[in-house]
Amino acid sequence: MLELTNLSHSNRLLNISYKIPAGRLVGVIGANGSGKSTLLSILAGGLRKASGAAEWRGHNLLRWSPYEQRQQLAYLSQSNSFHEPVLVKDLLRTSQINLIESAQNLAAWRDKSVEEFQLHRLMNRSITELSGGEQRRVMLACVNAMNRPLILADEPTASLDLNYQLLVMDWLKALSVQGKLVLVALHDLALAAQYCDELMLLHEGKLLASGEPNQVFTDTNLALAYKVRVDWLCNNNGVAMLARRL
Amino acid sequence: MIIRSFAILACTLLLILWHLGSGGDNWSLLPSNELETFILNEIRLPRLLLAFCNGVALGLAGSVLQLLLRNPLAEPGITGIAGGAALATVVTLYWGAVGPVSWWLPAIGLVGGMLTLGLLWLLSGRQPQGIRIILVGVAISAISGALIAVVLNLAPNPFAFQEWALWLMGSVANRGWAYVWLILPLLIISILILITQRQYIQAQIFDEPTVRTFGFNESWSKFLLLLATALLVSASVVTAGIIGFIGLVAPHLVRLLGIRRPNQLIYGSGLIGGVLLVAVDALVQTINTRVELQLGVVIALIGAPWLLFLLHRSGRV
Repeated sequence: MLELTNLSHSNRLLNISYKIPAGRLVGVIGANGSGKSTLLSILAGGLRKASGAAEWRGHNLLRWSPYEQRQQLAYLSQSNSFHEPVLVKDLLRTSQINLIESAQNLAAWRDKSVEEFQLHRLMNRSITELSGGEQRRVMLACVNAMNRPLILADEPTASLDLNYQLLVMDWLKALSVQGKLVLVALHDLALAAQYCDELMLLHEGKLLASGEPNQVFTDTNLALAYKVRVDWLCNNNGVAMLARRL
Repeated sequence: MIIRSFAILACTLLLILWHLGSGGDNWSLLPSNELETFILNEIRLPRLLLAFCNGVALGLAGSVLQLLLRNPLAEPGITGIAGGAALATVVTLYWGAVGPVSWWLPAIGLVGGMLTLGLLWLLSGRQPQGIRIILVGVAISAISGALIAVVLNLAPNPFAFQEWALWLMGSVANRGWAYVWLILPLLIISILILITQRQYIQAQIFDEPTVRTFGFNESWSKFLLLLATALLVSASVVTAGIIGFIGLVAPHLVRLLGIRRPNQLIYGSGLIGGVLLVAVDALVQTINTRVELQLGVVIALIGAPWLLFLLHRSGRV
């Protein structure tokens, strides 16, 4: 259970209060600059000076030491920027730094991640020579290899092709079914509608609406948050949307 | 692998012999009389060690900064610490009551370097990001550079500018053992700091937001790494003046050798920096010029084209 109470950060995030039980896939959506990344960064411990509380397993996530936080959560940052030509396998190993786990567990998680994101061919390549999409897959594999109960993913599908977008969402869904709490910032509303159990719609730093996708995606909410009007096309295979500017 | 190691070892030994034998009119290694023994023990040996220590210090500092600031063009001068140490030394010499051979001079230079580190840290904010440290550092080094010029212009000694122009370009000539004993402990302390922070250094292959979630006490680790760099750079400045480019070039050379892991990169850069500076210093002694060329000059002459080559290779020029 993650319980946010009056979470604020300067003028970028204002009084967010929300309760999420574990085992849910929660989409954080909103226009550019609405506070999605800020929310995830605060929870990940990347932004200090936040006020309010984020209760997780009986502790305030914001007051825990970085080392204790580390044991709880895995964070995927928005951009992949790599500056050193390190090998993918070294990157994967380094992503497990500071975790209190047995070496066997860590190795098993790495192997599973390589499998999940089909990185076999890339293991001995240097990260800087990979394409944007391949780098993203490596980052996702790193998050998977950490195997933490709380996952915070900032636009995991960015720069991925359709196949991998779906693979990533399926993977996040599977993690949530395993009992992890997954908080994912998304720009693609169709993916959000199709996969997420709950949505948090942010608008100018405030929580505009929350709940199941059909409760959040009302015409008024979308008009206010995105300044668009949306027609939804749904069948058993998935969701698509047609949007036009207001 | 073994053959390669032997080749490197042999080259290094030859280099040391070349360095030790250089300096007189004729190349001579084995001392044949008391005077030559004295020259070897009191002039050439400390010069060799001082050059090596300086190269190691600058190689280490440069690679740590490139990793920490995530900038392949970062080098020790970028933090402004070298400028701060130089400024403190210049001010003390011309306006203080301290003579040029006093132990106080390098000590005050070190203090200047540390104060600059404090200033850099203060101005970089509570959660300093790489780019901010670079900008603040560039500003500080511009200010200290300008202040050095002002101090030299106002100095009571009319030859101040000539003297310090030479000193600021860096040299390990005529320093003696005292300077080796000055830089060596600082080098060891810094390496110990780097060893305690090896996990944090390893984590630097990820972007800053990600590293922040890796459970390190970020500010503290970053401060320790900057402290190590500041110690290395200040130690180098007070013992040999400002030697540019080694800190920039050494890490790139190591990368070209195919070494990618951050900790190996750092120590590799230290070693290559040391060897490189010994080589350049031997070259400086061998080239027959009226006045011995300054280390900084020769390294810039070799280093700058090297940098252009690197830029060309990465497709930016």
